Amino acid sequence: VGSTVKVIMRSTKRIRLLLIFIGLPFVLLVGVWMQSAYADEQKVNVVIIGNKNIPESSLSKVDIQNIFLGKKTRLASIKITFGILKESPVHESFLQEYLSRTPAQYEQYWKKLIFTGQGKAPKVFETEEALVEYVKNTAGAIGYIGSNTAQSIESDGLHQFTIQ
Amino acid sequence: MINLIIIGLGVGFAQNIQAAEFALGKITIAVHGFLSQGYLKSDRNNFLANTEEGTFEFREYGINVSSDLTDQLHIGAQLFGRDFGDYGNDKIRLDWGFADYRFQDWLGIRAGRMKMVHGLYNETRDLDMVRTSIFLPESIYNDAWRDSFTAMNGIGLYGTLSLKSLGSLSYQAQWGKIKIEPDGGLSKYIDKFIPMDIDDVDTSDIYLAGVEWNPAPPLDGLRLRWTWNTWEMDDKATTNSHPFWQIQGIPSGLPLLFHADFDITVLAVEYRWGNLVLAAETFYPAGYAYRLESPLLGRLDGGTDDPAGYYAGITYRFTDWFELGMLYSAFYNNEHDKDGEQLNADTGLPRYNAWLKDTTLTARFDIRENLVIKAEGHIMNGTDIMLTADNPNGTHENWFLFGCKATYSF
Repeated sequence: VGSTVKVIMRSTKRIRLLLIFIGLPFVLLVGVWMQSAYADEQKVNVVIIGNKNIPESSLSKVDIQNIFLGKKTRLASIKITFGILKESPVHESFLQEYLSRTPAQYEQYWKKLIFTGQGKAPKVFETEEALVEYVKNTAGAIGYIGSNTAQSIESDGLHQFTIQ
Repeated sequence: MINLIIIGLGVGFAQNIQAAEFALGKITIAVHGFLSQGYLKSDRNNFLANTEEGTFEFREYGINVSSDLTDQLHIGAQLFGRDFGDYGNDKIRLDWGFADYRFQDWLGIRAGRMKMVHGLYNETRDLDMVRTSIFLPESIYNDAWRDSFTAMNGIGLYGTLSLKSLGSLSYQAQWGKIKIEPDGGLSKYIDKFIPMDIDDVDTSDIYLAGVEWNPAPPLDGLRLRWTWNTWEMDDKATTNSHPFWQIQGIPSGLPLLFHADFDITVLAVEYRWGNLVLAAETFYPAGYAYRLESPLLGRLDGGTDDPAGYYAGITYRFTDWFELGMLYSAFYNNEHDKDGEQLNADTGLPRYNAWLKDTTLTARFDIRENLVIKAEGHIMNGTDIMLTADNPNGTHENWFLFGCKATYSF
C-alpha cells in the first residue's frame, strides 16, 4: 500500500490530468448512455388523485412538484397534504415524470429537510389501495396511483386531476 | 395527564427514512437520528487532524425531535456532536432548534437557531448520508470554518413563489449572530496568515440571503442558486514570538485588534438527469477586507483578499446500491496572488499555501436500508485551508488523502 501511495504521489499531476480529461468524460458518457437506457426502462402511466373537497380539477406539473416537495401546502384556501407509495414502479414513474428525481434523490431531498428542521417526512403507503383510502378519507389529501388501478377503484370521495 | 404512547419504530419513508413517533396528548412527535464514523489517512500533511498517522477522530451524530403544533406552526430541535481532530471533541450542542410559522407558501418565518444558507449544500454539510462524497468541496465549504459557519441564532424568512410556466422561485433571508471561538478553526486559519494569540472574538450581526430558481419542465432537473452573506469580526489578540513580527521589529505581547469584513457571494448550478447529477459552484465575488489596530502601531490597513473558489463535480448512481462521484475543486486564498509570491514575501510561508487543488473520486455503497459506506481518494496540490497548528514541522505541496466513512440514519 505504501509503495502504491508513493507511486501515486510521484505522479499526482499526471493522475489529476488523467482523471479530469479522461475519467470525467468517461463517467459522463457512461452516465448518459446508462441514463438513456434507464429512461426507457420502466414507465407506468400515473394518475394524480385528490380528495373531493379540493375545488381545483386541474394542476400544473410545477404545482405537483411543489406539493410533493413540501413547498406548496395550499390550493386556493384549502390546506393540503400528500401521501406517497413505497418503492414501486408507480412510485418511480411518478417521481421521474413529475419531479425529475429518482427514488434515491427524492429520499435524500426529504432527509435534507428532516435533518435541518425544515420539513416533516411524508406519509408512506404500502399499496395503492391504502393510498386511495387515505386520499378519500382525508380532507385536502393528494396522492398518485397507476392508471390501471385508477380504472378499477371506486371514484366516490376522490377526483382525478387533469394536468395542465 | 400526559399520555405518552409509542406509535411505532419503523414507520417507513419510501424505504429508508424510519422514525420513532410518539403521541403527546394530541400532538405527534417525530424522532430521527444519525451516526457517522470515518477514518482518514494521508501520506503527507495533517488535514485538520492527525491524518498522517491515520485517525478515527472523524465522526458526527445527531438526534432530532419535531412536531406540527398547528397546520402552520412547526417546531423542532436537533442535538449534535462531532469529532474531527481537535475540533468538536464530541461536545454535544444544539445544532438547530427553532419555531417555524408558515403564513402562506410564499412567506414563512423561523426564529431560533437555524442552518445558514450558503451555496447549495452548507445547510446539510453535517449530513453524510445525503450526498455522494465524504467531504464537501473545500473551495466553497472550508472545513476549518465549519464550527462557526454552519448555524446561527436569529430569525429567517423563507418562501416559494410560483412563476407559472417559468417554474418556481424559492428564497431565504436570515439575520442573526454566529459564534467564533478564539481557538476554533476560523481563528487558527487567520493565525496561519497573521500569527497572533487570539484571546477573544466578537462578531457583528450576520446577514444572509439565498434565491433559487427551479425551472418548469422540461428543465425541471435544473437548480440555479445565488447566496450571499456579510458580517464583521473583531479579534482581540496579542503579538507573539513568530518571525512575522520579529522581522518587523515588533515585540511579542503587544495588544492588537484584528478587524475583518466578510462579503461572500456564491453562484451555484445543479442539474439532475435521472441518475446523473452535475454540480458546480463558484465564489462571485467574495472578499475579506481586514486591518490591524494597535496602540503602538496605530492602524494598519491590510487591504482586501479576494478568495477565488470553484468546483465542478459529477455523480452517477449505477445501481440501487452503488454510486460513483468525481470532482475537481480549486481554492485560492487571494485571487490577485494565485502563485503565492506575495504570501511568501509577507509571511515566509511556502508559495503553495496560497492554493488548494483537489481531485476527488468517491464510491458510495448503500449496502442496507439506512446504512451507507463510502470510500474516497483526494489527490491534493497545495496546502491552503490547512492549518499551521496541525503541521508544526511544515507541509508538502503534493499529497494524498484517503477517507472512508459509514453512516446509519433513521
